[in-house]
Amino acid sequence: MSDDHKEPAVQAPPSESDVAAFNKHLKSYVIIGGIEFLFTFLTVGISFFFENMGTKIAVTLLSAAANAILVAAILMHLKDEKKMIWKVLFFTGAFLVVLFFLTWLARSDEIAGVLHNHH
Amino acid sequence: MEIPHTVTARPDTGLYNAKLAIWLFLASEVMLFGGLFSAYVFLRMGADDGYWPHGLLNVPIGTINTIILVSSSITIVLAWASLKMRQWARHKMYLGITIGLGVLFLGIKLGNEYPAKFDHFGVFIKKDKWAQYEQYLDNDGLKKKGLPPRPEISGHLHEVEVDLTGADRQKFDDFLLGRGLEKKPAEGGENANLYEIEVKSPRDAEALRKAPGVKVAGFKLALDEVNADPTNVKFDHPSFFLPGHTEKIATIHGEDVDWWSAFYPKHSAYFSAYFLITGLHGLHVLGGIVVFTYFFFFGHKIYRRNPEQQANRIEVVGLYWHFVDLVWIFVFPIFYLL
Repeated sequence: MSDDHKEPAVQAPPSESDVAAFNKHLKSYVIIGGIEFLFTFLTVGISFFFENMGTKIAVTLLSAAANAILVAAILMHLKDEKKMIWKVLFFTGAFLVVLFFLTWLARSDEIAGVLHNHH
Repeated sequence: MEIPHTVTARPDTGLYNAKLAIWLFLASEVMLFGGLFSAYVFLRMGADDGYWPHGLLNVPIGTINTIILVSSSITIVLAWASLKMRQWARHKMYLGITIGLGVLFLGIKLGNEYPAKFDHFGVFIKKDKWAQYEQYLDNDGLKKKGLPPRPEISGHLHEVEVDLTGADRQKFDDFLLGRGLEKKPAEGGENANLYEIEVKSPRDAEALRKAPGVKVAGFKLALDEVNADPTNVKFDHPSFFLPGHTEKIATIHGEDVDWWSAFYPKHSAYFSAYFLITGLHGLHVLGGIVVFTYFFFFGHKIYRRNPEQQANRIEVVGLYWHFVDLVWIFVFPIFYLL
């Protein structure tokens, strides 16, 4: 960290073209909000549509994941984000997969009588 | 000394410092909630047939809360965009709406959802006693339909029957007086030590469980619809609207009971996971509200000096807020819908 670093002082007001670009963004945020509402209702709807629990879990979580991807990509600006952030998230995702793999491992390597819970 | 790279990007990372920091923090948060979700999966997969409850949460309320949180994600990004365009008044309006939506979310959770659970009471019947309570459980019918059994009778607790054989009567009467309760001899009257106590809430039953020398010997509860009319096909699967309560009273004997509790975390693995994950999520919502409120009242100081820095601060907390929304997008289906 350098002590002589100076952050730029008060920024100039945005230019007209910047304002126009932001206004365009604003519209897209509102549209994304509407799509997220739709995904929320879709998630609820399909969860009551399927009777088979496996299908129900898969399809409902898929719908929720689509909603989550919208939030991450558009609202969190991940789609335009720097490589550094993607690297961090790649490692996080990898560790998360390992974590769930451990859960699967624990389930598949069951010691009789210790995993089942009544409540 | 001035804090470096609050506005400009560091040459090595290409990001201003706080942005990298918040993403690293969010990475740790992913692992925190990931650990809890994997615990949820572990508990759910390990639950015996019928012991992982479905349809106990209010789906319309959960849907409304999801809409509220999603809306707040939109308003905070609009608040950030307003700052980028140097529109302070508009920024404050969106920030205020975001705070209001966050408070509304917590208000619904703490003012409606949690209290409704704490007032609800469930009794798990021992497997070898299910036949005696078939009129409330319909496990034979469920088996014929290929559906998981129903081990629990739930509703609103009216009376607790206690056996005072080992209790100090004077101390017990004082205990009842302290809680504003009264005892009356149990119906039938064969056992002079048996008494019925009309309770005001499941908390009274919990206190009776802990009272020295007192043995809880039975319950009378006003049944939920699902147990009052268990053969009704509409209760074979969870529905959008939470089944209501009835005035039909069921008497359950203590010796037939495997476990009983209000819908507290200790009620079941399901509710312990529900309260832990939604509680931790709620604390995150509260944290976001606190920071937003600080910026609402004091953000103008930095804004006047360097508006881009304030925009970056809002962006960073906004990223955190979006993450909180993102967690809820998964919490909602796994607890309310699946």
